[in-house]
This record gives sequence, structure tokens and C-alpha cells, in this order.
Amino acid sequence: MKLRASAALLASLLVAPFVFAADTPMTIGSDPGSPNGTDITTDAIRTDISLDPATADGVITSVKVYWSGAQCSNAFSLTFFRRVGDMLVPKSGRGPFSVTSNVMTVQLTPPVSVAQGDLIGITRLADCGGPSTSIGVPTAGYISYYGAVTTNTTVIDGQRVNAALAIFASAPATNLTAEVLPAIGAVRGVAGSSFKTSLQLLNPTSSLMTGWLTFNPHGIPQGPTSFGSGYGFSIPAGQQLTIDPSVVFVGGADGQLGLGSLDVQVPAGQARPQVIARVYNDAGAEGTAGFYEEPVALGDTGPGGRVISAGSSGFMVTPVDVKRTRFNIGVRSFFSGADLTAQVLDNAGHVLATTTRHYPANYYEQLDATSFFEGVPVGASKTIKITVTDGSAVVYGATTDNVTNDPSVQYALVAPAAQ
Amino acid sequence: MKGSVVFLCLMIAAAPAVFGQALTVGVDVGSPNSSDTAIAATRTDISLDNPATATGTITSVKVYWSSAPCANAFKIKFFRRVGDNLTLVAERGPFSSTGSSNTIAMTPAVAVLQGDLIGVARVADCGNPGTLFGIVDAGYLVYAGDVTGTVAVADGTRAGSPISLSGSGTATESLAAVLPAVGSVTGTFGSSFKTSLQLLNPGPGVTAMSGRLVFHKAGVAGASTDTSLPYSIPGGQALTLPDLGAAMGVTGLGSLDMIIPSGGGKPQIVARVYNDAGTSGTAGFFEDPILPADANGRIVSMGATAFMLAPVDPARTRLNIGVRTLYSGALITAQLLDNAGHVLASASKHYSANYFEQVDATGFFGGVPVGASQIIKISVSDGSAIIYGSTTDNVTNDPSVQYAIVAFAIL
Repeated sequence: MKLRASAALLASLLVAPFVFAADTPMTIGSDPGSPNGTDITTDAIRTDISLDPATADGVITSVKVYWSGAQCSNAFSLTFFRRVGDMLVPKSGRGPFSVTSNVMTVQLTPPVSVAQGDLIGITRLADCGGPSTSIGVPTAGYISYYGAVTTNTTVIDGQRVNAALAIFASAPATNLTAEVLPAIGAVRGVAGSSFKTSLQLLNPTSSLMTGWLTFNPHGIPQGPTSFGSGYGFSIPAGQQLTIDPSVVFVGGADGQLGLGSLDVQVPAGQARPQVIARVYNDAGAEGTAGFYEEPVALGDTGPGGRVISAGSSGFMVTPVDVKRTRFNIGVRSFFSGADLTAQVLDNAGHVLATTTRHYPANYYEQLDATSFFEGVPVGASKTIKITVTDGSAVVYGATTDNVTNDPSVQYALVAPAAQ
Repeated sequence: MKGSVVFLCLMIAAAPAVFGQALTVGVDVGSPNSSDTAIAATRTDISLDNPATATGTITSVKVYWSSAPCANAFKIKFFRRVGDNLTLVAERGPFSSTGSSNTIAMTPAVAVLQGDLIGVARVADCGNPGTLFGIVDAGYLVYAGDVTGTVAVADGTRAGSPISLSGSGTATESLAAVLPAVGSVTGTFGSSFKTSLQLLNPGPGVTAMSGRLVFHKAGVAGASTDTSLPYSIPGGQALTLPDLGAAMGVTGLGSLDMIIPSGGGKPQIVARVYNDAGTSGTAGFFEDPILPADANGRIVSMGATAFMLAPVDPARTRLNIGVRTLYSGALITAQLLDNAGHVLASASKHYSANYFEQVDATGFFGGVPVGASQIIKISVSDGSAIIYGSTTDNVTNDPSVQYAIVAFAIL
């Protein structure tokens, strides 16, 4: 083992928990380099929206466009969309632009502010060439719509294409969602339970730390976190901040916060706070019972990770004793929503139940496992396999004791692609 | 924070090798710029850098020697660390130096256990091992004479720079995960803690995952001979141990290692630690296993500083602090801070290799009570450890755990 290589490796391991690369720019769309196709011709005038979302907040000043023809006057316009659940809301448009070469960079005047998760679209306005695409590159694809999309539309109203739409922009990142707590809240549950969450944020660094917390209520599609009911925090160096989410989000109304998911957003390049969240049942004089919930970083993908991306499967195991505990399944999607197939398997590999589910972007819900599997009870120590076919999500199983109402959570972990 | 810190530690850097077939021990510094500490003409240097990354056999050793040729100049030695003692388990040589960089075949190959250390004994008055002055790391220990038998770590002269001495070979098995705290134990307030364990082989395919679970009892230096339980899980199946303590025939609090064959897969581990109040129900939490290459900052290595927070409501809960070391033991300084940065308590502690203990926070800090939401800062100056805070409700005896998370490391 050579020392130099070892030091570099360790640096990446140790930095990862807290620090973002300060100079990592935000991107939106896809730049395949050498496109090998053109978009589908849904109509002479059509709008293609790339499903490769903005990786952070930022201000875009120029866009790189690959076009199949050249010398096309007023050939296209650009539109930026905000995804709220499955709704695409046009936020800013620029153009029309004329095509002067197959690869061109157009300036946006004025620049366009985008939020993490926003999408970029291109509208073909003249019958001269078309947007280029590429297959065989990593991409979420694009959606093509008839005509110019100038009002709200949905992701299911267009035609989905699994090829990269060759429009791309990059800019310095300003803010981004660093991590989420998939399930927090203050809510009265079944069997007399009263779940609460205590939240502590620690700034272990020598600099002031700022950011936002956004509560995403259960069952309600959300837009980017900067449009939620954000709570801004500012933590001096070396200090901690203790927060009652009920106080900061609903003014302390007992039990009114409900169940939800919490996003932690920080300025790009700034360390994120150490988040210590305890979710517990508060039985008053009879004590509390709960667990520390670890935040999930959005980049926690890959084998063993907690974010299951398209093409990956995650696994969890049902409780050992289903007579003493109840089992709920929670799903939190991200900027691209999620389509998933869930299966309950026994040890012989028999599929005992299957469900296919769609979740809008930035959506969170928790259901009892039987309802999740459409009425099929989940037995003890069964394997639950979650396969995500589109978007990405965190999926967890919450085991709650029937007497003490003590909750605890295991995450579905991404399995290796092959052993 | 970025830019103001420099990271260097060999323990974790070596960790990703656990799933590979290669086995390494010690470090090759490339271009040494200094000699070892000459405490005696005949002396033994034992590298503390990069303990054997797996169990297996060492077939080749590379050592830098300052002079050549030197006839029968050095021996290569391998030591096993149990607690704070080092026991010679094999040696080869003497060997003659033929140049500054000497690569030597081990004949026969040397069987080592994960965590074993490599040493070199200077046995002729000609040349010496090379070191890299200016790099601070785990370094090496120097003993007078040609060490045989057992020596104490504390009896050696510590040098804080790497010695250019490394071995390589073939791995057979390695540590895949640690559950820092498991057990079957009766605690305070009438609590009865248990651990259920589920191991899932998600496949794909039917290839079985096999390995063994090793229980290290709290308060005792862990050893490879500690109580273990083999397992083999066919593809697509889950193995459930409703009561881990009963399945392994152990009682009390301890720490669990998962050892897997080299190249084998690691099952998904679902461990629930809970208080079992019988008809009054259970209360507990799912405990995340810690991987040797933990990417979430839960292994605090030499030079690193980690943090955790005291509970929000100490009137309703009690806080215990647990420490589990790995193959090099750990030397830590813990501080209790308020929000103004005042140091309310400080404690320096030494833990031997593969050791685990959990104590109440007040005892941990020498009798100073820990207040609500106070900051616990842990700096590791030697070795590495997993450190956690266990919050337990005083009425329900419900336990839950937060790990100390690495914030930065300063060299």
C-alpha cells in the first residue's frame, strides 16, 4: 500500500459526511457529447422536456443545444419547468432562438433562476431540424408534448422517451437539499400513541452554519424545498440548536403537525449540520419510546445505500414477531418521483404479494404493510423486495410495538447488482 | 472547514480491501528519508500502520534497508495483538539486503489473522530500516533486542512516522461488519435487553452466503477465539435469530463482528436491540451495522474528531456512552461542552484492541453529570473506535442509539 494513494482515499471517506464540494456546479439536462439521434416527431411544433433535473439551485446564463439542422431561423425556444408532484409548471421561457450550427450555446437574457429539481424543455417552433438525442448514455430520458407547452401540464400527458435529450446547462450551485429525514412529525396514531420528534442540529465547524428545514406533509406532492414552509436556521460555530418541529412549523399546536418528511437544505459548499432526530412515542408519565433516525443523504445510492434509484432493488425484512408488533412501510420520493414494484417473498422464493406503485415528485407517505400490499398480510421474517423502475426513493419499514407503541425503523438497502 | 484540514490515516484507508482477495500489512513509503530509532544495535521495529487487512497468508514482504549488501541483516516478524500485548506468531530469516528496496518471498508463507502486525528485527550491525520523517501516522514501536514471545505495547518506544515495511499475500476471510452493542442483559430499572438478528441474502441467484458471527464480551479484550456462530444462507433467504444471545449461548452486553470469506457476499443485517417487558411490550431500535469502510463517518480514526449530543430531556432519560475499538485499540479525549464552548468535563481514555464497553455518561466523564443538549466532542489520537451515545427512557427502558460522527480530522 502506497501512502499517497491511501491519504487521498481517506480524505474522500472522511469528508463525505459533512462537506459538499464547493466548486461542484449545478447541472440541468444532458450533454451526451455526440448525439446519435433526433427527438420523436410527436408534432411539427412540439416541446421536449428533459427529465434530468437541476442538481441544485442556481442561475443559468447559457444553454448548450444540439440541433439536427443548421441555419434555421427562430427554430426553438427554451422553457424551464418546476415539478410539483406530477405537475410541470412553466416558470421561465427564453427565445425564440435561431440555429447557426449543430452545436450551439445560446445566452439567456436575462439569466434564469432555477431550483433544485427544475427541468429544462425545448420547443421546436419552425419546420427546420430538431433537437438531438442520444441513446446509450445515463439519463432519465425526456417527455415529448404536442405543440408549445405554455401552461401547466403533467408528466403523464406527454410521451416518454428513454433517450437523453441533448440540451444542457451548468452554473455555480447556490443551495441544495443535502439530506432528508424521511419520517418525522407530531401525530396521534393508533392504540393511543402520540408520536413526537425532537430535533438537534450541531455545527461542529469553526464557521457560522446556515440553512433551511422544510417539512413535507404526508400525502401531499411538494415542489422544490425552497417553496415549502421552510424554517431558516443559523448556528454559530461550535453550537447546537434544539428544535421542536411542532413549534417551528405549526406554532406548537399539539399533535397538529402530522406525519411528514423533513428536508435539510444548505448553501452549496457549506458543511451541513449534524442532525440528531429522535422520533418517539410520548406516553407522558409512562415514559417515552423511540429511536434516533439517521438522515439520508440524497447521494446515498449504490450497494448498501438507502436511496434506491431506477434500475436498482432494495431489500428489508419484516419483523420477527408480528403478533407483538405492527409494520408500516414508508416511501419518500425525490425530484423525479418514483415508480416501484414491491414484492413480499418467503424463504422459498415464493412471491406472496406484489404491488406496483407510482409516487409523484417529493412525495411522502407511510402505510400499514397490509394496505401497502393491497390487503395481503405480511408475515414474520419475510423478505420485502423493492425494485425502482423510474426516479428514486427512500423506502423504510417501521416496526411499532403494539403495547408500548415504540417505533423503530429499518431502511430498505440497495442490493449489489450481482454477487 | 474544507481547506483547513488535512486527512491522513492508514487504518481506514486500508479498510476497503476487506472484500478483495488481496491481503496487505504495513506500508511501503516509497522513498524513505530517515532511519528507524536506534535504541539498540539489535532491535525490533513493529509497524502499527495498516494491520493485516484480512486473515490469510503473507507470501511476500518488501522492506527498505539503508545499506547493501548486508549479510544476514534482518528478520521479518509477525505479531498478534490481543488487548495491549503483542505476541510473536511467526518469523522468517535472517535475510541479507541486496539493495535499498528488498522484496523477499516468505517461505513457507506466513499465516496471519486480520489485525496482525509486521515487524523487522535488525540483527547485524549493517544498515537499518527506512522511515518517512515528516509524515505523522500510527508509526511503529521499537524494542531493544530480537523480540520473541510477548511484549507490551507500552514497553516499546513509539515513533510517529511510518516505517517502510509491508507484506502482501492472499486473503481468506475478513471483518465485514460490526454491531457495536448487542446482547442479552438485565439492566437498571428492571430492564431486560435482548437482540434479534435477521440476516438476508438478497441474491440474485441461489449462491449461499456464509460466514460467522463473533461475540466479544464487554469489558474484555476481544480475540479471534471468542464465541462464534457460523451461518450459511441460501440465495433469496433470510436467517432469523429471535434471540441472538440464546442462539450463541452468551449472556451480557457485548459487541458482534461478522466475518466473511474473502470474495464472499455480506448479508444484509437487520438487528433490533430492545427491552423486553413481556406482556408490557417491547421497546427498542434497529441498530445499523458499521462497515469497515463506513462512509458515514461513524468510525473515528487517529487524528479525527467526532461529535454527538446529549439527550434533549435528561430528566426522563439516561445516557450511556459506548466505545468499540478495532484492531489498533484507541486513545481518545472526550470533552463535554456547553453551547458557549465552555469545557464542562474532560476525560482521556485508553482502550485496548477489539475492546468494547458501555458506561453511564456521568461515570464516563469522571462524575460530572451531563446536561440537556450538551455537546460531546471525541478526539481520537491513536487507533480507531466506534463511539455511540445510548439514550434510554427511565420509565419504559426504551433504548436508542446515536453514533458520534466524524466532523473533521487535523493532521
